Amino acid sequence: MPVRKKNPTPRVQNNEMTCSDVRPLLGELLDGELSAETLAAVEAHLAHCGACRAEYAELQELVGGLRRDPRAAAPAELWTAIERRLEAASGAPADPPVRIRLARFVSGRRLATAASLLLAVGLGWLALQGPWAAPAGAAQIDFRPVLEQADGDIQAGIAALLARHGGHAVTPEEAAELMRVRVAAPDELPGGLTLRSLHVLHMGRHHKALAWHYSGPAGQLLILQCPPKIEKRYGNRECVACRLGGHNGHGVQVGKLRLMHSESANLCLCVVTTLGEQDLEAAMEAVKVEF
Amino acid sequence: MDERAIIQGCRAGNRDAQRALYELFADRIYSLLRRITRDEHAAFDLAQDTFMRAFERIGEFEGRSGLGTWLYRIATNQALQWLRKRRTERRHEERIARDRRSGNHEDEPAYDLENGLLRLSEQHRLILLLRYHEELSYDEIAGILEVSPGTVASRLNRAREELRKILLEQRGACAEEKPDAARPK
Repeated sequence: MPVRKKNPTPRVQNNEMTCSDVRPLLGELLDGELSAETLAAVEAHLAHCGACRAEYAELQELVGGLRRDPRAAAPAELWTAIERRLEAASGAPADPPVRIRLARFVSGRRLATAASLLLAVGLGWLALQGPWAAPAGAAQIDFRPVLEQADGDIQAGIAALLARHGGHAVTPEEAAELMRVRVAAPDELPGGLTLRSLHVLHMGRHHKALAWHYSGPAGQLLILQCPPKIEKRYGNRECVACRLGGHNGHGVQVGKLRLMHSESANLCLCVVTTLGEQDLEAAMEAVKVEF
Repeated sequence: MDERAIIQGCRAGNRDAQRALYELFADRIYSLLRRITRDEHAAFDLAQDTFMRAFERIGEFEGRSGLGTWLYRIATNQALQWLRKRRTERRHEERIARDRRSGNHEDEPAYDLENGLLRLSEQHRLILLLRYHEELSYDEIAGILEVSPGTVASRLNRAREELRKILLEQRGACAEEKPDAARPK
């Protein structure tokens, strides 16, 4: 590293400086970077020059504002994300590629049981919260925009949900880069479903989710995916507090809309759809996400 | 674990050493990236890239500068690349500036400064942040930016002057706007 000799050439003789000598040195004075000799000369000038003192005070105010700005702490999830990349780079036993199988998390009986419980909770919560007016980018996926359209225009509800989370359209390649996943999202799915859009959504300060939106004669299908929040507890990796939905492992039906959720060690998925079970199962068989 | 042990451990791919390096510098690196990019999502991603690159290239670290200086250099290069990529999309900064203007920040002295920083050239914003946000010396900044300390001093002078002019302009604009805003309709 180059080492600078502070003010190697004294710019003044006999300790007398003019304003034009002093002004360019005020920044270095403020930063404590002047040599002892130059410092003495600058201070001697400031002692009798009000204009330079005023300029120095202005500079102090300017820099004081910059210094007051507090340092932001690195989010707790940052190391988790780095560690995941380190594991992937070292070829360590990574979480296996995930093929989304509807059969894993849809069971008609469980859907019905869970629906009665969660619907009550969900609607009660909605009643307390009122219209979804919280700031965009909620920490968890906020389903209220689409639930409000459960018996109305589902497509409009999906658009509102995407907008609520600051969704921006991406290509599958961009999605893979942003989310560090390989996404196989066909343009066409069984049942005549066509990919309308692939969006990246923002959840809270640091988390993103992917959203595929398909539509066709059979209905609407929105697939949401995010990496789960994983914490180390006593040496074990444990998935905690999924950000996609509070109906972990269950399904819920509201009007003609069904929400289903599943999570594994490396994947959280939520499906919002109007498709019948057979169409949905066939569609989900064709979508693949790999880490 | 001291710095030498951390470096040796990282060279061997030791996860505890990598974690120790991360713990030492994570807040400083993330904070700097966030200040440079003005985008917490970008800062999160760039901080990951910075540490990944550091772990990959720790074998090239020769110890001629401090470990922190070396990491800052990686982080600032990452951030500058990101900024160049975004230069064609100035909408981002314009949006932030617009959001700030639409917010009720009239009593906050940091408001002007924030917008002022956004309007600075990338080079000037970066050097001001390294000096006054990160409190790095001229020699340390010189090591990060790979320029001479004399260049740091002159660049800082120009950066402060540019920021001062921007703030003066903003205050002038506010003084012109306020009488209209206060006028009863």
